[in-house]
Order: sequence, then C-alpha cells, then structure tokens
Amino acid sequence: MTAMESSPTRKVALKRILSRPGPFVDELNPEAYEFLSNMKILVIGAGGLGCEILKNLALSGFTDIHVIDMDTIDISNLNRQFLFRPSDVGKPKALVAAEFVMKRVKGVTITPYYGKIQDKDESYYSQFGIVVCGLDSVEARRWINATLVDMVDAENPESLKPLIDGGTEGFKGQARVILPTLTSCYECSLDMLGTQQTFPICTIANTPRLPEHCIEWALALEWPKRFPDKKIDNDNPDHIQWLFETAIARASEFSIDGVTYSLTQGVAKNIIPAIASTNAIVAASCCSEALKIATSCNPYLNNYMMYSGNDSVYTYTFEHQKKEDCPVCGVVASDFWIEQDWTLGLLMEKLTTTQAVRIKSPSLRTAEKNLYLQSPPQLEEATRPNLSKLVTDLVKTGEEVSVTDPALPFSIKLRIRY
Amino acid sequence: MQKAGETDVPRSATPHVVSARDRKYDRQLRLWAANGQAALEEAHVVLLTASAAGAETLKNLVLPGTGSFTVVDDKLTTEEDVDVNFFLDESSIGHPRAAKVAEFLQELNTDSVGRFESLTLSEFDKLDPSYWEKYSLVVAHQIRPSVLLPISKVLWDKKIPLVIINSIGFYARLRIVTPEHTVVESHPESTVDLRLDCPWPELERFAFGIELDGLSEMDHAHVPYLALLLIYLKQWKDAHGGSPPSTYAEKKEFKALIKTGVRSSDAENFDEAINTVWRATQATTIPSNSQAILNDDRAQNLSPSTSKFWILARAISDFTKSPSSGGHLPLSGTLPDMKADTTSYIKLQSIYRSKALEDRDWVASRVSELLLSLGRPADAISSDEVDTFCKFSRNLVVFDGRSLEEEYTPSTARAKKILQELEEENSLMSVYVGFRAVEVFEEREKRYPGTVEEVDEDEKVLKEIALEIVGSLGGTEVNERTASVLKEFVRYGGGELHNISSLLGGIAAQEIVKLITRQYVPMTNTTIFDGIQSSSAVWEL
Ligand SMILES: [Zn+2]
Repeated sequence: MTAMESSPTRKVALKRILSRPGPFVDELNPEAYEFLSNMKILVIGAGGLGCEILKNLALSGFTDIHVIDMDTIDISNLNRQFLFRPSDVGKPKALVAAEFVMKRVKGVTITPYYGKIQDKDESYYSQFGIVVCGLDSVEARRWINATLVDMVDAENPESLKPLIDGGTEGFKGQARVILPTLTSCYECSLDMLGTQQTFPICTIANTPRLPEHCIEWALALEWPKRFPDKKIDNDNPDHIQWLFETAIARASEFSIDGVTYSLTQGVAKNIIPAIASTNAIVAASCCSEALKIATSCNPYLNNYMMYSGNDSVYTYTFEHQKKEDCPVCGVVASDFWIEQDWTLGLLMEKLTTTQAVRIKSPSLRTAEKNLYLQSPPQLEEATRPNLSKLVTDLVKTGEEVSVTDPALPFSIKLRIRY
Repeated sequence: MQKAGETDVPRSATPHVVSARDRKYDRQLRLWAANGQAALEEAHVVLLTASAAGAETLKNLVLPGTGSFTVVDDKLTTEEDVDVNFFLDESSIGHPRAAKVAEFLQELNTDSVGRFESLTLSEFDKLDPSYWEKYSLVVAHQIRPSVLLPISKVLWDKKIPLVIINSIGFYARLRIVTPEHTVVESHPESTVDLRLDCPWPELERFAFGIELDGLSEMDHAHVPYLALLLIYLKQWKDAHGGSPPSTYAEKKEFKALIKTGVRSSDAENFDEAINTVWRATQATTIPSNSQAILNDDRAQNLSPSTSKFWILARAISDFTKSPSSGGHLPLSGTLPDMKADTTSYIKLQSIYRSKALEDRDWVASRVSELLLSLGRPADAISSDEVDTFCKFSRNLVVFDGRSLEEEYTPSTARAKKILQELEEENSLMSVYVGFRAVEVFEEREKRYPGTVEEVDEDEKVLKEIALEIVGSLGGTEVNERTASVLKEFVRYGGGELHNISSLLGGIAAQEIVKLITRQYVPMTNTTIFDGIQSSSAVWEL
C-alpha cells in the first residue's frame, strides 16, 4: 500500500460510497477500494476521448493505468485534447498525456506505449482487468474487439476482459459495455454505424452536381492519373492545395459553386467534427462504467447508451442484442444474397460498401478454392481472371465463402445465396 | 531518389492560407461556423463555486475559445477538493480554490482570458445588481436556494442566462433559467422545401419544357426526379379535373403512372420520383411552430427595443400575408442531390435559388421599413441575417423560460407533472425530488446528509423533507423508488464523483455553447442524469 491509500483523509467521497451498502446493489465488496487500486486498466487512444479517460480513471481510484496511441499531436487537436499545449505539437500523444496526468494526480502511474495496438499480443492484453477504448478508427476497434473475444477461455473467468467503448461525432456520441462472448460485441453492431458517404464513380466522372463530386474527382480520378506513383498525404498542405485548385477548376467548368478549402480538407481527410464537451460526456460515461464494474458499487450499463445534444438533451439506453451470425462472436455463417448476373468483381465491390461487412481489400476463398487473393502478387495474378467471371459459375448457392482482410484478425463467413 | 515517372506535386503560386486559429478550431468550426465562434469569443462566463463539475464545465468552454471566464469562490482548497478536481493539485491545498482553478484552466487556452474573485455566499445579496452586467452567462454549482433565488431574480430581469448544476454521487442535475431564448440556426436535419404542389412559373417552364419521349436513353435516365414528378402530376391533374392524388389508393395509382414512363433498367431517377410521391403530394404549409412565432405579440407589436429576431419574424409574417408569397414562407432555396445531368441540375438549382433570392429581397426591404419605423438605421439588420432567417424560417425556435421562483413556489410549480412522473417505473423524477430534499437538508443543517458516521437519522430526516416537498405539491407519500433514491443520496454524503461531474460538465457546456451561439436547440429546462441506470430525462419545470 502506498502512503496515499493508507491516508484516511484521502479519496473520502469515493471510499464512503464503496464502504456503504446501497439500495441498488445486493452485496457490498469490502475490498472494492483495494481491488480498484490494484487493477491494471488499459486505455486505447490518447486523443479527444483518451485524454478525458486518463484524467477520469486517475481521479476514480485507478492507480495502474496503461495507454496505447500511435499518433502525434496536431494543432487541430488543441480545441479538445486538453492535456496538450502548442509546444507539444509533433510529440507522441501517449507519452505527453501520461506524463501530464501523472504530474497532476498524485499516486497514479501511467505507462504509455507509442505504437499500434496490433504490435501487442494476447500476453500483453491478458494482464489487464478492463480495457477502455476511445478511438476514432473503426478498423482498430474491430481488431481489439476480435482479439478480446478470441482471448476468452471458458475455463478461465480471468480471461474475459470487459471492453468499454466510446465514440463521438459532433454533439452526438455513444458509450457501451462489451463483455466478450457474453454480450453483443463491436462487430455485432457494425450495421449501426452511419453510412459512409460515397459517390458513384460515374457521377464523379460524368455528371458532377455537388462541390463534393468535384473534390472526389480530383482525389480519386485526377490525382492517380497525374501522380501515379505518389500516395496522397492528407497532412501535406501542397497536396491539399493541389486538390483544392483541381476541384475548383472542375467546379467552374460545370458552374458548380461551394468548393472551399475547408470542404476539400473535410472530404479528403474524412473529417468528423469534434468538440470538448461531447468527448467529456462520452468518456465520463465510459469511466463511470469502469468504476462500477471494478467495484460493484452499483449496477453497470447493459449495454449501450446513445447521447445526442443537437436538439435538447437526449439519451437512449438499451440492450444491444448479440448477433447469431456475427463473424466474431456468433456461431453461424450469415446469408448474403446476390443477383444471378453479378461478377466476382461486382461482389467484391458490394462487400466493401455493405454496412455489416465494411471491408477495404477483401480476399475471398471457398473451402475448395481461392476465388480472389489480394496477395502475394503471383496468387493475385492467378486469381485475377475470376473477377470478370459470374459468381454463379464459381460458387454454388448455399456455399460458404470466407472473406479476409489484412486489417482484421478474423474472417467473415458468408453463405452465398442466389 | 525519385522513381521514374514520379512527379512532384507543384507548389501553388497562391496557396490558400489557413490561420493557426482556424486550424486549432477546425473541428468545431464545422459545427457552428465563424459566426458561432465569434459569439463564443465575445462571451464572458462566470462560475460560482469552483467545484469539480464547475471546473469541468469551464474546461469545455475555455478549450473552444470562450472569450473570458471568471471563477468566483471563497473556500481554501482541501484534500477532498484535490481528490476529485483535475484543475487543482497537491500544491493547491490551503490556497484559494478560485485562484488555483482559474490558473489551471487558463493553461488550456491563451485565447481565453481567466480571472477569479473571492466572494463569500453571504456577500452575493449585497452586490449591486449591476455587478452581473459584465457577464453573458452565469454557471452556479450547488448553491443553496436561499442564496441562489435572489441571484436568479436579478439575472432574470437582466436577461442573463443562469445555468444551475448539481452533482452528488452518481446523480446530476442541470437547470437552465432564462426568460427567452430564440434560435434561427437550429440545424434541422434538412431545409429542403420543394413546393411541388404549388410550382411557380419558372419551375413549371423548366419541367414542361422537357419532352420525355424525344430523349435519348442516356438523357431519359438523367431527367431530375423533380421534373418527372411535375410532369406526371400535370398529367394526373389534367385527367382528374385539376386535383392532385390525395387518397392512399390514388397515390398508389399515381406511382403506377410514373412507373409506365420507365424505359430501361437504369431508372434511378424514376425510383427517386416514386419514393418522393408521398412528400410531393403533401400540401406546402407553414409549420404550426413557425406560425405561432409569426403570430406572437412580440412580432406583431414591435417597440424600439424589440430584438432583431422579432423584427425579422414580423417581416416574415408580413411576407406570408403578401400576395407575392401565395401564403407561404420564404423559399429556403436548398436543393437535395438527385440523379441528374450536370446542366439540368445546375439549372434547377438556379431556379430554386433565384426564387429564394426574390423572397429574401422582399423580406429585406420590409425589414428596412420596419427598422426605420422604429427609429433605427435601415441596415441595423444585415443582409446575411435576413438570408439566414429566411432559410431557417420553417425551423425557428423560441423558448419562453420559467423562473426558478416559479419552480420553487408550490402554487406555480409543475405539481401535476412531478407527481405523475414519480409514479413511473425507475422514475428519474425521484432523483429530482432527492436533489430538492438534499438542498433543504443542507440549508437547515449546514451540512450534507450522510456526512456523519451513523446515517439512519439522516435518512429519516431526508425522507421527512421529501414528504414535505411532495406534500406541498399535493402528493401524500414518498414512494418506495423515491425512498431508495434518498437512501442513495445519503450514501454519497454530498460528495462529487469525478466521472459524474465531468459528464455533467460536458452536458452543461454543450447547452451553454448552444445558448451563446444561438445555434442548435437547447433543452428546456431541467435535465436529470442517473449514473446508476445511465439514463437521462428532460422536463420543463
Ligand atoms: Zn459479435
């Protein structure tokens, strides 16, 4: 025990709650406070939500906190990521955030890791009691969710790590509690994500109407044509400027107005508006659940809360149901209906735009053969001719196709139906 | 080394320069734009009581660049404060809370100017009412009603919004007190207003100028669905004595009629037309909300001190009565995206925009007349303001607030509502009654319930107080659910949990940003958050 824990004058309000029985809990855990201060807790993301989460956990009695983040600090983070100052721009978020909170809150240790969650394996994740996630990337959340589900060993209750996940957009956000294999998981709810704004290529190429169409034209069609060997860098002002000017020229050719620098940036980077207050709400909700789970001082969220502040104050709390055919925690393959005239190429395109699949570069195989593989190059070349073949010639109706993507640690099983 | 064929991205001769300020605030400017930001930068928010919830609220206002903030408090920092408040640390213990919290908050953003004042609660009523005039909004955390009610009266008379926050254990409460709040930019889901039931000549000319039969396959698939609807509506009306499809059966038949025009499998525009039949055959009307605002006394009886909002509302009201409007609101001019070739879409867009501009010009000249008649400069309301008002005239919002006094006086309280809500399962109204009871307890005992070792007596006293409150509203008992909530309050001993204070600070800051920028729709007027159930409720109390 540290001097702080033993001090009867510290954390009085928290200890009072943990030591008194409450009308909404059946049993009091007499060791709740010790348990809390000895539990290792992992925070994924040290951005808008992450800064709040670290602060909240440090002030909630957690003393052994770890944080992972792969980003460095950008000036546009400063309107909400309150652990960073202008002089920190360019430094790793995880390091600066950890240092700041440790300096401010006595008796707390925060261990930062500047890197990707994929760098770590099960042995790393298994040391934590709870994982709190404040990410803006769908891909990273799918990865950690699948990893934690995969880690569950029915024989060993310790292997089940509650995952608390938060997300925001503008005045809206959500917080949820995932008990891997027991409750619905992140993958189960993938179809609840807002639809990605996509524009058909033929509109962009032939009949632009909106400023966004002109920007997409510059981004998706003109850039690769003009700079075939260069990947666009969204943080390079010369690149954004080029997109902006190219889009402007396109727009004036078609008498379309509304192309601005800010819109160009928004479309190119897929910028989601973010403010301090929404991060505060969602992060606090996540951490309040972490505290309740760690101490049993009150019942925890089962299992989803949505918040919206655009019009009045609105919350919707409900139990999101587990999906039988969830590729991560489910038990059966899901049906995927296709039209008779679909080619494999078209099926691939549909998979990338289907809400419940959302995969960027799918590789497809059946139990018997490879349909299309993105890599290695020789197999890509060998399977490429399949893209123009009809799916009905390659797959029997009812046959299972396994879809994989290098970004996801699991495969999606689809039963093709036609 | 450059690979063969790799070209450098040319550097622009006239690069667009984004200021450091715009880059810093980029993610929020996308929500409330430059005008919202300007309002925020002009605002001065004062916090009464440097609690964790109060500091968290200010944090979320300082970060986005609120012009100035002041922290008012008279306490010295204790260990208990440092344990829950991130804007205090070990070195703050024994020093004035107001100074320390203001200092740590100031570090968040140099664009925001922070101050502090050491004022004791008992000094508040000795302040000259003019003291408050420098503030644009007041945040008050857990101030006992005997002190807060008189302050709220002064602020009410001066039309300075008061935001009251309370955070105890897993429970939080937020109350907005302001006599009137008006919103033009309410950010509705959509401002589309198509007027297909009452097209104006230019729109008809455009649609009826299209000869569907003579079009190539390609062009046929790119006729904007608005034009398709107008063409088929005319066909229908010609065959039905001039009346549009109105019953369910007729609308179904009308959809079938549109379907007969489909030529190829690529008929996305026809699908769009069919999917919009229901909306297209709705009569364009003035929403009752907007109509009530146009009819309001404040719009109909202008005085030299009338605010811009009501002068604009009056001009719109006059517009709807003028022959040129056909009884409609000004057109928003917003055209949704639709399958179309570029030329037709741009043409259609310009038809909608010109009409919107025409309506706007009428309103603008009326606004100038009204301003002159009130003895104010004809350009006291800018053309941008007229523009925005016309665009959002279907979605205007006016809230007439209720004073704290009305809420706390049994004869004017929303007694029926409160008693009714208390009967609901897991009612959050029990938490509201709990907060009210704790306030009275603290006022009488000068301490919070549950701060002593033996809590049985506190539980008993708190329940008696709750019964007094419920009784004053006409109720006869404290039900089981409320009794449990009261016990839970005693368990907390009046202490803050950081998470709940932070969450409340987030909600409060969202509402304050909405009040200051006059964008989006604030809640009226009370929110309770229950961190046990993780749910909230809003009532007008
Ligand atoms: Zn699942």
